[in-house]
Amino acid sequence: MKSIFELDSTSRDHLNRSNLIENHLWEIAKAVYPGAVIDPATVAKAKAHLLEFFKQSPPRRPS
Amino acid sequence: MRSIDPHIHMYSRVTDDYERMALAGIAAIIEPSFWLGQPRTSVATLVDYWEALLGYEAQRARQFGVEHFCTLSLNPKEANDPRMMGALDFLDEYLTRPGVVGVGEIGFDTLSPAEEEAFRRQLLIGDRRKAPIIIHTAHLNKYESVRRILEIIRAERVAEERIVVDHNTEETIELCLATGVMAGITVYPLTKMSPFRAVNLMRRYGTDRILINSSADWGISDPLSVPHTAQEMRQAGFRWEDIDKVLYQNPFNFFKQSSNFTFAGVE
Repeated sequence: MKSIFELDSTSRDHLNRSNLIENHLWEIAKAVYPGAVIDPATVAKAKAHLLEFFKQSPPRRPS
Repeated sequence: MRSIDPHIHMYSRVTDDYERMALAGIAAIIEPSFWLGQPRTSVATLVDYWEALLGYEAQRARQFGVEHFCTLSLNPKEANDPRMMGALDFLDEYLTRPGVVGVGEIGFDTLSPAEEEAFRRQLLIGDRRKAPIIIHTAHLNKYESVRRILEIIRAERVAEERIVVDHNTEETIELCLATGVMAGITVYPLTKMSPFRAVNLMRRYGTDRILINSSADWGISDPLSVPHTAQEMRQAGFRWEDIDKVLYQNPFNFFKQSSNFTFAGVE
């Protein structure tokens, strides 16, 4: 199974995983600011930071 | 709490779902014809599918007191198979059948020329019949898909008030609301909008021209997405009147534009 960074960014698999990450971030935003109206740009920015973090911290592959 | 799911593919769901939907207050549903997951071998199989929606599926729903209506079409994905374009010769006649409340879902999958031709033809068939039209927007390249759809609607001078452009996200909703069409929001767990995201959109843009649906199908989806959205709206502080408006009155009034929408309503 490929990581999201290895997928074609125009593929259905990439889109589905990307949406999954976004939905989790929306729930996190809700937990942080309950009752607030969330700016989608904030979630987009959080997603970019998060993906960059994971990109820089790849897991060890099982030998 | 009463509600209508204006876009759900019950053909791909088990009968238990009807029971759960009835218990959750879903009084009526609209089932657009969709892509069954593999290419067809002939137009006849599509016509058989339309017949199944009108017959067996409506009967399954009735067992639980859920009113079943459908919209018919050649799906955008199937429009890329030249063998399937013949289905459009049957569509106009089918729009007169009891239980058929419009055309759909039509629109784009990959934005190919074949999809555009099928989209235009079906758009005009629906408009001539003064039927509601459900428009699917591509999952990939969604913004361009919505922009192009709205451009074609304008160019063909089709009545915008009878159209719902579906599967909107934060990226596309303003495009739709700048026109006269209804904006559909699909609440579909994991891979599309969550109830919270849908509610966030309504807090930003209001509830006037919004339709909330589940689009539940073969995938990991939830036929109770509409009542779940009600719950999320309530938690966000929406009044019961607003919840009723967006989850019941908006779809009711939209499909009431079809003389085949015989749903008497729920008091």
